[in-house]
Amino acid sequence: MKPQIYIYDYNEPYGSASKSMRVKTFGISKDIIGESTLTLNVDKPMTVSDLKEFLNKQYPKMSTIGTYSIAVNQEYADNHQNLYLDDEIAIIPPVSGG
Amino acid sequence: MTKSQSFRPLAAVEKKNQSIQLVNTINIAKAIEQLENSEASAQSIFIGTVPSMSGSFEVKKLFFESYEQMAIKEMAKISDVALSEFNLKKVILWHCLSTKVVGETVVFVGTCSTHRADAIAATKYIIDTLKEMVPIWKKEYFKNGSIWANAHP
Repeated sequence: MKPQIYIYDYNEPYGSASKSMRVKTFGISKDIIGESTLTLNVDKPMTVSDLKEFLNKQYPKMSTIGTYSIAVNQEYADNHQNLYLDDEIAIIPPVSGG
Repeated sequence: MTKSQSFRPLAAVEKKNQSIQLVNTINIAKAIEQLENSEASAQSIFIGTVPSMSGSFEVKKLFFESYEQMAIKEMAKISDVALSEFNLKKVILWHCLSTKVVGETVVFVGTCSTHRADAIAATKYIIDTLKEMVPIWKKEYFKNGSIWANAHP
């Protein structure tokens, strides 16, 4: 069963969220979450740090990996940044290229 | 996959003074040819290859995964900074994805400038920053299992 959370849909009143937010996963976060795109239902305001808190709670192994980032629209995002339903959101675990 | 297909970039930013690519296979001869054509007197190159050991474990192969659209943007940012900070004439920054075996080329950084100090410093800046910022992940395969490099503190 997919985890349910609720984020604010700024186009619709609270409680009527029918849209879902998708979160891309890579590397170890893909292994932990078990799919390359995580789908979350949302109906309250959510920041990057709220998303991390949710992920760490829902997937306890996420809190054991090195500090990971969230990318919003293909840019590293600050913890206080707000997330919107049409954003492209991705989990960026510690990188290891080169 | 034919040889020519494997050299075709998966994602790229190509400009007169920079070539940024994610590829399946790096053609070193082609990269060097592009640097030489830039007509600057000092060229500096860093080539990263798959090592045979990771710590005390024998490496069988590496697998590289990437968030391609973001990776190519981050690589272009690094290249843009290097071009302006180190007075470069050209930057080549190519990184491989997919599975690589011991000895295969993983990353090619090439810079050229009028002065060698600039080219050498820029090459170091580019590879160091790539390792820190670019969303590429390496899975190391050993005899008895595999791990995502750097994943755990």
